Amino acid sequence: MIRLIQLEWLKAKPARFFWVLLLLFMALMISVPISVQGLSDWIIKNFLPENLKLDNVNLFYDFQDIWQNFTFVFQYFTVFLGTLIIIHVAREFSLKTARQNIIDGLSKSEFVWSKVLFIGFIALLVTLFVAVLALVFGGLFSPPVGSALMFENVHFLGAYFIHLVQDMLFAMFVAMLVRKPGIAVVVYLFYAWLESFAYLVIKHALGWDLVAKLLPNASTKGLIHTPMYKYVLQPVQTFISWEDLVISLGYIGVFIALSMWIMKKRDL
Amino acid sequence: MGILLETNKLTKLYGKLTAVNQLDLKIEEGQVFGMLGPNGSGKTTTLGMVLGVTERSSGDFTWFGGENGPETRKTIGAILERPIFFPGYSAVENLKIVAKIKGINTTNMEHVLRMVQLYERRNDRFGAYSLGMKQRLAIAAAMLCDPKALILDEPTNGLDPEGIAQIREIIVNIAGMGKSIILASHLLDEVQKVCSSCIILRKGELVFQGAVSADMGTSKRVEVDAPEQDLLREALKNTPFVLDVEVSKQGFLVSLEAGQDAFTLNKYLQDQGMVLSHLQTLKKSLEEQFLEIVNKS
Repeated sequence: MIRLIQLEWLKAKPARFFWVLLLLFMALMISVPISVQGLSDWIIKNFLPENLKLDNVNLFYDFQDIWQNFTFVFQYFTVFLGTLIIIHVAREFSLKTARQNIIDGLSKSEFVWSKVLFIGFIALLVTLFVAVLALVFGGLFSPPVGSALMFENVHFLGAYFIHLVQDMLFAMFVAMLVRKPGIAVVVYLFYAWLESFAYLVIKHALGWDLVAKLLPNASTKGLIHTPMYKYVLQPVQTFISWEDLVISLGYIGVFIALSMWIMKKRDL
Repeated sequence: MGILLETNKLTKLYGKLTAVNQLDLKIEEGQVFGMLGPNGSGKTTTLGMVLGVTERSSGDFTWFGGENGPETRKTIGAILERPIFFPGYSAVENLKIVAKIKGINTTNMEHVLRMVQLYERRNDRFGAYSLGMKQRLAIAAAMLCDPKALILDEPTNGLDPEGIAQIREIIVNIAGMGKSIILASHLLDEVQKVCSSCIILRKGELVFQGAVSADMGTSKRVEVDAPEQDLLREALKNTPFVLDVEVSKQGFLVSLEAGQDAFTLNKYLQDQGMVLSHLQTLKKSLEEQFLEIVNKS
């Protein structure tokens, strides 16, 4: 297992696109907490009662809330990681390195597993990065709370990890299916755009909630519910439902199985 | 010597096209073995199947008398069609990937890079290499694991004469180390220069298997003449192992049964009281034999 992760690392490390997309992704993540400062000030000024106003506070960074806020917003950047995975996987087919790997002694299932493990590895690193960001910004701007409360909603980090893995596995599956990096990226982005329309129609026009939830892209964002309603005093789901979790884990299994099937069936 | 590769009715269908048809092969270890055939005769498809990248339609194969999984491929160095590496990565970065796949360390890397004369260029990106250097790096990668067998598919395709000479020298050196080599090529000359035995494929079928230096299954031809041509013609027609007699510029062109040659013919005719004034064995080049075999079948 370690060997397969090391193998992917040797493949990714010298690639410029890998670092460009990863650093761009991280830069975007850091830019969000900085840019919402203004929004927070505006809400505090206009909506909060006078006696609750504190200096040097950002509403979004309140411990407890920060885990859900951060992970919810960061989900929208996962498309960068998906693009990274698509190029990383699809180029192996367009350059034929996948073929040479098999000739050199990698089994076809090892080829798929090495990608899956690499996705898990990146998801873990990114999740840790988000944890550090949340602790830093929460530490700076949250009103002081006890350590017990501080980590109360930390389970959203776990949900975020699953979201990352599911989304990147979907990207891997598209890459294995299409095999040309450029076309695969277009298919991946176009599908996301198409599905967001389909989601609106299915959920709101037709009212089929469960079907809408089962769409691959919708389900990857289904684990973490929108936390922003609380700022206009609406109820917010702060737990992760079993139903959403089962759908996500189901997709993870399906994408791995389909990728394995494609890999075994096709000539390289 | 053991068996390097054995195939049993190995078949690949692409839709209605039969790329490889019921191929039965047996290749011994410790020799340079040629796979000869025109483009599209199924050489690469056959190698693709035994190397696990082309799914076989039916049939079977074994390496080293019994195995055929990924673990076996780790002990073989193989290049199919063209050298494949990440173009933006250096030779060293690419070889590290190969070593990781084969589960070996990189202590051998300097040695193989020096062997193919790429050590000085080891940190340059693969994409900037000339075709000859790319081929040489592929051979270095194949040799990285100190393989039991080396499989080369058209290793000199597209190279200039100097590049071809370099690759041939490397192949001969490797063969001198006692490694088994399978060399696929459409160039007869190449097979003739480095291989001890070979097969010929045509439209996915085996049409010949044997030693390169032998007659490759065709009859031997001898040209003879004598002062009394009518008597000679009679004597030749009565010789039991003569297949055919034609008139040629310098007498008669005689086709002999396999196993017979100028010596046995001369001896037989002398016993009949016939003395020859001209006796010459006509050597067919491998090229002629190859075309004969391919066109006949």
